[in-house]
Amino acid sequence: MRIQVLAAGLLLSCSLATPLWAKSTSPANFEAVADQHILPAYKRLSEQTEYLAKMVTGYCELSYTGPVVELQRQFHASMDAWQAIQHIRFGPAQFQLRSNRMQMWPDKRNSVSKHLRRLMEKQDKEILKADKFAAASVAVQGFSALERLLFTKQSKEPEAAKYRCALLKAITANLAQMSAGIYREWREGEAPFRQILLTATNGNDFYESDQELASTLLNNLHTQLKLILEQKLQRPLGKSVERAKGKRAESWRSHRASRNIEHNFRGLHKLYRTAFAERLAGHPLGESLDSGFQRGLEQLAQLRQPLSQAVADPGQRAEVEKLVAVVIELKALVADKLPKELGLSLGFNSLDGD
Amino acid sequence: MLKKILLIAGVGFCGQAVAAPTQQEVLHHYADLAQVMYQDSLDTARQLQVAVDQLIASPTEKNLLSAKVAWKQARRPYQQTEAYRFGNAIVDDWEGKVNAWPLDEGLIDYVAAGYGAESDENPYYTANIIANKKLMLSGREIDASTIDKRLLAETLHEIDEIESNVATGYHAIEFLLWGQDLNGTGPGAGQRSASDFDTRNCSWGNCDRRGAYLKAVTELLIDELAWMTTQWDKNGAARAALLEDPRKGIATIFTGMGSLSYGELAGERMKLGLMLHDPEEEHDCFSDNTHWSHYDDVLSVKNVYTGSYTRVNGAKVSGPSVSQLVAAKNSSADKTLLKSLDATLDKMQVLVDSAEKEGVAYDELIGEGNTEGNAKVMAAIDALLVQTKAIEKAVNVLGMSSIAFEGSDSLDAPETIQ
Repeated sequence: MRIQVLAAGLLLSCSLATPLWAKSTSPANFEAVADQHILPAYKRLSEQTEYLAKMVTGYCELSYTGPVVELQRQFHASMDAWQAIQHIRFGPAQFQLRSNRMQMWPDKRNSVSKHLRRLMEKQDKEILKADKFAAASVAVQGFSALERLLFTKQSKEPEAAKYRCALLKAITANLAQMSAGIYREWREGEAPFRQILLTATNGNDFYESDQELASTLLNNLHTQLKLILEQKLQRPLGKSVERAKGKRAESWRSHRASRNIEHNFRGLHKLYRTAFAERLAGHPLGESLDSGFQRGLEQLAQLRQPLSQAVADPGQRAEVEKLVAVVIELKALVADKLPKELGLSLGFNSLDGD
Repeated sequence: MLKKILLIAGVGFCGQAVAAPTQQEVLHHYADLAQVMYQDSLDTARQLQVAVDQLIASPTEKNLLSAKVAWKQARRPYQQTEAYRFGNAIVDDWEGKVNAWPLDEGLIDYVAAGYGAESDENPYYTANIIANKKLMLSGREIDASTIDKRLLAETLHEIDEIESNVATGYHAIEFLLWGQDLNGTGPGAGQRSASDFDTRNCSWGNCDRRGAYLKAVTELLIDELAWMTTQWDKNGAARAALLEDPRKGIATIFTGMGSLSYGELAGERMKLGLMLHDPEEEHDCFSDNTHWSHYDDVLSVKNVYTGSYTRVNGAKVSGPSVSQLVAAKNSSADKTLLKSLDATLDKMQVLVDSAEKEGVAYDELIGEGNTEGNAKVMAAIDALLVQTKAIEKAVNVLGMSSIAFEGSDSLDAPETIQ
């Protein structure tokens, strides 16, 4: 064990000492991305959601209407784990539409409320069976639906409460199953995705070349910054303080919109550090990126209210706008400077629709 | 004869085309095509207007049907312009006035109880302009006693910055002609009756106001399409913006192609609806015309890539294209992209045939538990993803990656351009 750690340390210091030009054969450090960022993050997600599902089972055995404080706490821990890896839009998280099923957001057409209400009115028990539930509307499957059940007032009427418990169990078991599946498929099976990353250099079933894979990582980094900027910040801000739209913030019901962004920043920074940082060692762009993420976290700490309220408060709104400025700058670095420096192409963005 | 020799020479040089057009020539032709397509959109919208006037004057089922047919015909050329939208700021800023979607139709007219009474996102979810001469909007009272172009375009459309408050454009007209589709993911489109416009034998009340709305909203569509057509004139602003910097102009063409293929069509319009199994997540949800809308979007990408378009009257227009620019640099990248476009059209044709020949509309295909239908839609989405990759490659071949991929982004956030 110790030897392994030492070896890893040696490897790291060797690659840091290697001059930029000599690294041109590998556009990103895929091994570091997999072993130091993606796998640990999915492991954590899998553990947290498994615990969440267990807690829900225990809760429902005791009573259908008991206090949900403990469940809320574990919801937060699970959501922290998800937000830290929300940005990975390839591999097992994309298989079987898992990313979308984990969390339906943004929800511009109010689908979660609509579909959840219909389901609870019908009290359809058949659809809660694991295989059926996995194929149901994504609006009722994941974190967004769970948040509504745990953080908004629910009926105490016995039949409704009983059904809510069954639904809670279906959602959390589904979350745990998807998370475990993602983590497993990265490590095991005929073609573990970790292996796909490590063999991209010569091309494989998923990537023509390491260039394509590295571009995908870059694209995911950029897409998440775009998501933070446009959906998580600018949409709730609206055009003016009178027109602020707090309820467009992510997870506003559990008051954790800015906590989500904090975990996004940490996850994104880790993605950048593991994949690309060694290629930019000593380059001013590397420093600008590091400091950009740092300033983002510092600016988040200036928010004294939940984001959904801060946007409508003249003083706090100014702090949100400062955060927007930081993200704009960071996104511009990733979109304009980083591709050129790495010799990679950004590719189109999945968020380019309406 | 000369052409033949050139062709042979071209093959001799490993498929490297000899006479690629200049960027300027490609851009001029791209702008010419835009003008022709918007002109076709305008002409067919004028035919729609004739049908709408006839319906209001004589609200028979036959006249309602004629108006519906005219609406569907008007959609075809318009959808083929959509690849112009994302790269060209003038088009993107304007597009919401004519093609905003999805809409909370309760803003406009009566809706069924299942629609619900309120929404988290929209306080005007059931404002019902047609039934209400006075409306409380954004804390002030609005006089809606006269329904005219001004009320719809300036006061109501996207009121309170809520995108689903769609008061104008194709989909508002579609709702007025078809009404709500209450069949869920089962068979059937909207069921509006011609008597909804009959002031003497009026169903659902306010038939005069419903007719006034339909007339005003159709006129607005024509005004807007006429305006957009002139933007592509010899001295039009859209053409001028495109020609300002030829390299950026070429990148603009690709930004439009890629953004429409990927984020918009594959993502927002198709995958989201499929994942939600929600019939309201269908682009032309009242008329069940979505299969054509999607097909024509792909055709739009092909049109701008190949520089060719078949007009509504059957005339073919073609000229210098970005396809030729790509082929000159790397003929296999060009061929791959052309092949991927045809492959996507094939998959979209499956959706068209399902609706037109087998009578199974798009909203049924995305229904929960319809494994076979879901797979057909998913196949089209997958084809769009392959197409997107091929577009990305073509962009890289021309060495334009940085401008093309950030292009649509800089439209929304000019601060990012440094």
